[in-house]
Amino acid sequence: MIQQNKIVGAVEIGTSGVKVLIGDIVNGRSLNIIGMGQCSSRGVKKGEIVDFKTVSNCTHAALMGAEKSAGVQVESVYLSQTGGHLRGVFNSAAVNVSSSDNRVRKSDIERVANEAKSKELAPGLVYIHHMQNAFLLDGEIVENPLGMEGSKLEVNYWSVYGDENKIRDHIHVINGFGLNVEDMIISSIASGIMVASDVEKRQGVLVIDIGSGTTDWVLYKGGVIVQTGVLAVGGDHILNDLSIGMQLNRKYAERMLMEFGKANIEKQDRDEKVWMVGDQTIGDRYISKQGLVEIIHARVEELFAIIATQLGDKCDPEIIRAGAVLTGGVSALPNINAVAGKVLGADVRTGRNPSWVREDLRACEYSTTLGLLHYALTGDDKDEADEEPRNKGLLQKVAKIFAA
Amino acid sequence: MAKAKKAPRKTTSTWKSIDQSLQSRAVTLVARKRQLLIFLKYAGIFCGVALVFGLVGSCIYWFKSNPHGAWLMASSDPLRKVYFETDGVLTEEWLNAQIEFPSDATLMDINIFAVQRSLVQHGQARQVMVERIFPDALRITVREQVPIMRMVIMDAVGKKHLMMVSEEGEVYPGVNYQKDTLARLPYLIGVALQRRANGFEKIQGIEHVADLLRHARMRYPGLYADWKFVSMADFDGSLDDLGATLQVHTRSSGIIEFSPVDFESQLQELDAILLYAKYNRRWQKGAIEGIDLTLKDPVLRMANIAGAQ
Repeated sequence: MIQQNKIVGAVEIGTSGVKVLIGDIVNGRSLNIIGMGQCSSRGVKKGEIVDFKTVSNCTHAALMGAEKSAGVQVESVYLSQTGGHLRGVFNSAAVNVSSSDNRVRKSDIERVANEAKSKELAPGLVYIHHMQNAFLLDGEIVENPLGMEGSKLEVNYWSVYGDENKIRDHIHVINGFGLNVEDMIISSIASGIMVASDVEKRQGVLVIDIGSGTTDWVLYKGGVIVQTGVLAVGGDHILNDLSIGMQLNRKYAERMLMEFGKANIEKQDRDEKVWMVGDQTIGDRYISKQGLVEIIHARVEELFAIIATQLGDKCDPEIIRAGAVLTGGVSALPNINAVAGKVLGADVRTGRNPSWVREDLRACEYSTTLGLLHYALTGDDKDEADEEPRNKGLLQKVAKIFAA
Repeated sequence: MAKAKKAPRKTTSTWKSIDQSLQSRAVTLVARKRQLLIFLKYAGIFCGVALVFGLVGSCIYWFKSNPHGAWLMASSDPLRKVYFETDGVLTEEWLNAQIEFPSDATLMDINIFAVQRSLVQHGQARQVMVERIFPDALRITVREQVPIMRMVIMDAVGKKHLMMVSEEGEVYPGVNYQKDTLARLPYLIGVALQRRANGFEKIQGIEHVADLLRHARMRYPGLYADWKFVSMADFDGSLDDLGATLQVHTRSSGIIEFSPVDFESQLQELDAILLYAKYNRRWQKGAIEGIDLTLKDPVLRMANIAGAQ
């Protein structure tokens, strides 16, 4: 049998860095991670591109590095998307079952799904995902209504949309390298694929990915994505608070955060003071550890409070029975799980990528890119915005025949 | 009269509708090198494919330019259907209240430009497109204003009316908005409205207020939720006026004064100040009467209550 390989790239253009992983999908069934490239990011603020040229240089360098390490050229890219411009909305629709025997047909399912997804957006906004929540047949939740008897079929979708210009900028960065974006996945979903188990997703789990510029979250229940959200708040806000609150420059604020930062004050920290620079040179001074932690605590607590507000009545231990999973760079902050648990009223753990991933990629910061590759392999949690297939045109098919 | 009917399936825009053809502004030196290598590798393949596309294109051109395509022309019948589409909250009932089509009119009898003018006069419709679908239907597509603020105005007999203000400065009576959507919008005050034939002139300088609200809503939702009124009493839309300020009346932090430029840094300062105030045990609730962010350094006006510093 002829082996079919597909080389895909997973690209995350983050506030602090661009990460690229290259995967080799063999016969559509197995995935080998064969290349990796990274570049510290400039020109991205709160997940949004503010300097296009700089971001292009940085991303192309990371892609080139990854292609060199893999020894192959990427065929298509799976791109993560974040930023405060992303929004979500529940779209629902209902139709009467059309057949005379009241059995639900495929055409009824397509009709109700199309109706739910056809809500138009304001100019300048585009959909990224339509995630199907549940079918209701005469008011009863059913997983697959095909062939079942009933008179009224309803469906709910959680639809994620964003600013067209900002999404276009991300896509054009990839296009500039001569590649097309095969699929776009919001960061929270990509991370959620990796750090939450299937059992947790069925029971109800909230995955929170706290990055440098943004915080992305996704709520799973019954094995499907119920709701997602993005806050334009991340680790950079904590650094900014420390800079202003403690009158430190950013370099020292970063050092203070990395060395002494905690999300919750502990008894032994109350009277402790630490040196700002540490070498006792002119300008060095004592900093109150309690003050430092109080500032971090305030921002972290506010962050989770906003997530709880966005979740509304879904922020309920009965709904998130498997608790919350924190991932992203800021999730390494000591005591952050306790603060999150207190605000969200749920058990909280720090996420970790699965054991089948090689050791150097198991840190939380790679959850999103690994999730993109996993998505490329399995189409996990695949949304239904993908109506028309991309890159499957005559041109590419002919090219493959000649290249083989 | 033709009855308004539900439109057939609408097409919505997804990110996949974004053009992914190569953008010259995005091509870096690294990318150019890579593309050259790929080009050389596949040049032969592209030539073959170009030939195929050329043949297909010629066929399409021949079919399009064929005079037998005259069968595409359609005749005009009496108007039977009106499809109504909107990106907002307006309904077919609203459409029927605005326009009544004569029952015996044919499709070509309908003055689509008059229909368009009539609908645009209602301030909530920002853009209206009226299309004839031969032989017997009209499609009316409405793009609606998005309200960013509320405004209360008083008419000649002293009756108060709630109006909406769009980010383009249009003042219009909002129809069909949900209560909680309106409850989130701050009120606009300190503006003298100028009347015109149907409604009011656009408010000058509103784009700066819209910019402030957009920044606050997207980046600092906690602050935005506390805003009750936005006053343009000291801002006429001109950035050349050195004394121009936008005043925001909040529920818990008094009056905040913004300069109409660089809202991001002002909001960042405000966020830091209010966060500090919230967790500073020496400052009681209500200790801040106002914050002036228009100067180089922010100025706080403190209430004269015991314990406030």
